[in-house]
Amino acid sequence: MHNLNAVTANVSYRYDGSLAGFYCCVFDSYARKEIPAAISSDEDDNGQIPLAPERWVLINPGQALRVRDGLAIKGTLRARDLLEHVFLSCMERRETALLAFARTVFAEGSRVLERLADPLVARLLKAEKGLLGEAHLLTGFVRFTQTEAGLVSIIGPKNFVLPLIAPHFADRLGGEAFLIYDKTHGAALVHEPGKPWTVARMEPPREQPTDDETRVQALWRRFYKTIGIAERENPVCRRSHMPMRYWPYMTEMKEFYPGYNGS
Amino acid sequence: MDLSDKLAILADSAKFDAACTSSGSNRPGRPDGVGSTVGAGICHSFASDGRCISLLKVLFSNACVYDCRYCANRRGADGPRAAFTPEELAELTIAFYRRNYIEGLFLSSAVARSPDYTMERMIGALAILRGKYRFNGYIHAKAIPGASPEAVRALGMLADRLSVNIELPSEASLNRLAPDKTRAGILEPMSQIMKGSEQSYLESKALALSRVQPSAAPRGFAPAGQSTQMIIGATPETDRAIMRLASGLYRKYRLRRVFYSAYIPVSDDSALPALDSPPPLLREHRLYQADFLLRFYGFDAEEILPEDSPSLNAYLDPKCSWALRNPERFPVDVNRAPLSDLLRVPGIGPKSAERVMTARRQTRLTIDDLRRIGVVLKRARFFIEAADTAQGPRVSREDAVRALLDPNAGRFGFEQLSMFDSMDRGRRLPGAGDAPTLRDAVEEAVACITSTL
Ligand code: SF4
Repeated sequence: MHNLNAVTANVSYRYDGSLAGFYCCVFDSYARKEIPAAISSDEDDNGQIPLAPERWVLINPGQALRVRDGLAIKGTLRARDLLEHVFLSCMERRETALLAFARTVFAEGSRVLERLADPLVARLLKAEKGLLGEAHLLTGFVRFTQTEAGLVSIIGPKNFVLPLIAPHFADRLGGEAFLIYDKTHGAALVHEPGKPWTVARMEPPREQPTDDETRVQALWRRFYKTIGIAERENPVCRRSHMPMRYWPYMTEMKEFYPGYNGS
Repeated sequence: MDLSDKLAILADSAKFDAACTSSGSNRPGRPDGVGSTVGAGICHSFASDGRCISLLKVLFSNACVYDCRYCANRRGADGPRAAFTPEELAELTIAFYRRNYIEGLFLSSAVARSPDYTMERMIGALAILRGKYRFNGYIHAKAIPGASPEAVRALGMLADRLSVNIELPSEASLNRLAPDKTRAGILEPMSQIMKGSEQSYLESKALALSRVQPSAAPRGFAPAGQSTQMIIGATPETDRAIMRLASGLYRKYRLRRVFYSAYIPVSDDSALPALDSPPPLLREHRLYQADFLLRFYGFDAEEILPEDSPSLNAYLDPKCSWALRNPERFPVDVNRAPLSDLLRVPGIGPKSAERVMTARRQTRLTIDDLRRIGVVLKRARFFIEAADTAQGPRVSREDAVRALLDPNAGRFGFEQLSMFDSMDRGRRLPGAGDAPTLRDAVEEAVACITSTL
């Protein structure tokens, strides 16, 4: 499929925001021998006037699969993982960068991954690092509240980490019904015992805490306050390991967040 | 006493133990239980002192029959006493774990009645947790010095990591400050744990080869090995003595970690630092840096602290300090040098060294390339040669030394500098008493270090 003669075209691709949809954008770019000036989706609709006339890219599962398999064959699984990770990240205009990356992989194979100093590769690796870093932090910072319906958590991450943290929580809490709601992206990870997990767009959860919940949360807050050593107080170190943007969602940290009003 | 007060007392008594890692064990969840373990460990929160909170860290009881003089729980100290019941502790752990507050439990204890009685209570709590609650998450338990081999064995079968604290860096100090403990009472369980953990490692390998699902396999004895901790600054041992001991422990008992804990005065005792002396945090930080060099950079204790410089340098991190003492090893050519030499460059860590090895397969790396792949050049640039370094401007020795000084030295507070006995080839580096301000001290240190080059 590779074609080095593609030219930048005065067109903006628009797709549904899904990974399959993005792969179809890559497919179209080859089919039409053009590189779109921009790629946008419903997800990042911010009312801005598009840079170039928009063209809708329709999902065709067969085409998406061809691109996806092609990446692993022409490149490596690692190259495809990098692309799919960056797709979940919060990198600005990631689709355009990922299209350029996919084209390089198709043209040159996996050697591109060794070019760590290449500006595009360096940018993608940085975005991936940010995503994986945030996913790792959240495996620790997620806080569940016990409700009648099960365990419920709300998070507000920069990157779309739910698909990455899902296997960890589903494995660890296999026997539990739980839900993790991502406020930034308006989606939730839902798990029921004995069933596979799902991630889907969803309204914020409204379940109420059980009666015992206040007691357990108070115990945890008391532990948290006790375990710090006063003689070694180090707010800078704490903030660098646990950035303040996570605090409003954490049982023990809420009250330290500027502007906290007791709710 | 209600559970909340108990928890506060027993967490407060446990907070000086530095170990809170949940690493070294990788076990998937199981359908009939709750929990899993993750090899690299997970931090669930960070306390006001900036330390990671991974485990529910508590003592089982803080009412001690021993009288270690450096310890707030010793028999002779005042303060509230408490003990959990096994059921209470197990229930609390599960409640915290299900809400994802913690990665598991870190359970230690004062010596309540006798070492074996204490062990029995701890074993009781862990047995409820593993049995009734089917808890499959991480447990780090401390063996009580002087406990019987049977009790150590039983505790190890329930824990992921089992360890004994070495407490003080020398036997003389231990005898002087911990009259009820003996060096043998600490080292014997340590060697028992090493052997048991090794055995269970071999067994798990054998099970893996026979294709038993990991979740169906028994946990075995302390699969995550052991760690230990020693108190720094309560006794007169030099950094050299401490690092030699640590490196011996790593080798002899295959410890996963040695923790260093800056002594915080707990009592007015003439054998110990005065009540108002601050904990030697910068020194502790330098020891951790030196420990990293042992574990991840292929250094040995003798290289980091040779006989003629028994103290770590207050102003320089140990790797910089070593590099300045060994100029003949530099510059290192980033396009040719083996991994082991890259790791010796100040500012280059294992990750950036790996990236250099990969990136240089495609191109001869320049300084800009290094920057883009994420090598921090602030210090490294004085010690490397890249494709384009020959054209760079020459810097004076003094400017180089200034750039190499660890900015953290000042951040820990001026006073901290005096807690070192820093000598640089026979010249003493300034501390708080020797210069009017931190800036003066830094300038003096620069001059002093430059003059030895
Ligand atoms: S044995 Fe010594 S160090 Fe341990 S709690 Fe008792 S007095 Fe403290």
